[in-house]
Amino acid sequence: MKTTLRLLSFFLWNSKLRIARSMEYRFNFIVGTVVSLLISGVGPLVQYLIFTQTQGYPGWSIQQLVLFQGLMLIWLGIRSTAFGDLKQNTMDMIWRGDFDRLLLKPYPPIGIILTSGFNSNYLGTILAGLAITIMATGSLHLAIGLIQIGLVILCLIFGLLFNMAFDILFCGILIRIVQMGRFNDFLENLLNFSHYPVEIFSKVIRIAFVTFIPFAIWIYIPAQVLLKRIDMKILVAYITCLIIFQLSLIFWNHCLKKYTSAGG
Amino acid sequence: MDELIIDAKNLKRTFKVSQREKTGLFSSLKSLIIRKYVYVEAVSGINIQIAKGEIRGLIGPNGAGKSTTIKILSGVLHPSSGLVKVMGFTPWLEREEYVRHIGVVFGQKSQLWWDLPPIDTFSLNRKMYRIPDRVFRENLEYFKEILDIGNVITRPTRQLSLGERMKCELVCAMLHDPPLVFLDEPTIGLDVLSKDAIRRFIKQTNQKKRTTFILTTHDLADIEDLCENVTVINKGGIIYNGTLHNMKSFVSNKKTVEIKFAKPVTMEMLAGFKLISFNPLDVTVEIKPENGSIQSKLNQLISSLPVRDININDISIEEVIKQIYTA
Repeated sequence: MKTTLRLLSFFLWNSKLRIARSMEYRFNFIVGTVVSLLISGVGPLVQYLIFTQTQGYPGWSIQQLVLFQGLMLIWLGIRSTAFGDLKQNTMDMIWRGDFDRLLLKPYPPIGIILTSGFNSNYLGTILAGLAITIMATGSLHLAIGLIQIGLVILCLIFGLLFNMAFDILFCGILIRIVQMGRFNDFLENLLNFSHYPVEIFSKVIRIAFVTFIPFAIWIYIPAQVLLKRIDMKILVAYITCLIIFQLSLIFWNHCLKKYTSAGG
Repeated sequence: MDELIIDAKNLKRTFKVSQREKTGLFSSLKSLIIRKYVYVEAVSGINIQIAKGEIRGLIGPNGAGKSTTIKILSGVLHPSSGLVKVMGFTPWLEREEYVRHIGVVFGQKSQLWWDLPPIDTFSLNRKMYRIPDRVFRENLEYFKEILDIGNVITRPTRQLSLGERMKCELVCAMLHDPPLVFLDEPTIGLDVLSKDAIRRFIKQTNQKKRTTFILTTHDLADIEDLCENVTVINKGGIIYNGTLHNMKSFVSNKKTVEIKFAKPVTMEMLAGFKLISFNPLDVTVEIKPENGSIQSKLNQLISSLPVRDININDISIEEVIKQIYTA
């Protein structure tokens, strides 16, 4: 617990330094934020087109879908802000042998990796997501209580754990094979399953995404929580996230022992 | 013997390395399907003991196993076998606690944030190593003064010279007052003045704080200036371990004789002497005392040639090292 808290404060320090670094290159920071805002508008637009040009998503109205899109932007923004630079940083470090430096710090190296991925360019996406979510909540006349807020926060925490599990898996494999650019693309595409309501998938996949491979924890389940359509499956999703996170740490520790560094 | 800070026994580390026999596209494509691996023993049974407060030089040719040894001793790599105790820790098993007690500088890898001033990296390290404010301030003042970096640490790292960056790297590694510091080629690429400043810093810190330094370098002036004891590593094993002074006699007690002539001489006139360098008015020869006394050799020279001046030296450290490496 102590280590987790220290890593959290280390994350804040790291983020501060990265913001300071962004400010060194102000133009790049402003352009990056504007571009990420523009790009974040593309996803909802595509979804809208799909919805209006097809039969839509079963069980979802257009307003509910806007809520889903708002939550998606919040999640993608948080994920990219907290871990945006993680994969590229780790690939560079392991390839050049700079990963040694992390092993000389008095913390678990995976902790340092996970807390060093801050990227300020995606703060705009979070803001856009928040704005859309608040608007959708208003238009749907949803009464959001403390229980819903608590459950959404839990979704965020367990969702972060689940996402970190993927990043840990990626870094573990990276330690063994050093380069894996396209595998990263594959992983990213896999995560894209979470960008759609699970109703579009077959029953087996739908259950799997809500329980045992809980991609739904990031966007679908929080949306269902706000729409008051959630059941006990949410608990299974939470527990699964925790288990997958623990398993990823075991895998990481196994890979770390095989680290060979680069020539001196 | 003084209290040991490092005690390593029979340290081994083997790497599995892929190897391609031929160059070219076909060979590359073939390696996609069939890949040949070889096992390279980077460290093969090293025993090393280092006393507290020592500055130990670790030297050897490229690929000798120095960096691998340092990486094992600092907890970065797991060894294939062997026992290591550093300040009571087994580095790779108790890494997180152990690294609080060491500092490491890799001359070719930086831990400074490239776009930010070094002071920001120092602050991050303060947070990481939980350095009390007072200690941080005192140490920073000490380093600023001794390394003359008062106006350097607030400028972005990318605008600093290599020498200034290296000084800041040393500060990063030592802010938390580690009793043991590993320096892997700290003077690589530096000019004479920067090298001198870094050597002075190591010496003074060693004396003031009794910090133990393990230093790998290819610059033998670093070794001559700083180290009393040297460990020479080659092909993964230790080939010499002892004082720098004894290392010269370990190889042989050869002498080099620099002779200046009043008139030009020819190479034929110096037949029977091993020439190190030749110029008609200025010659250096090597004399092995076992092939006859130095006196008789010198007599032979002085009586037969127009000698104007003569200097007798021990064999240079470079020559000694070269002989040890190629032994």
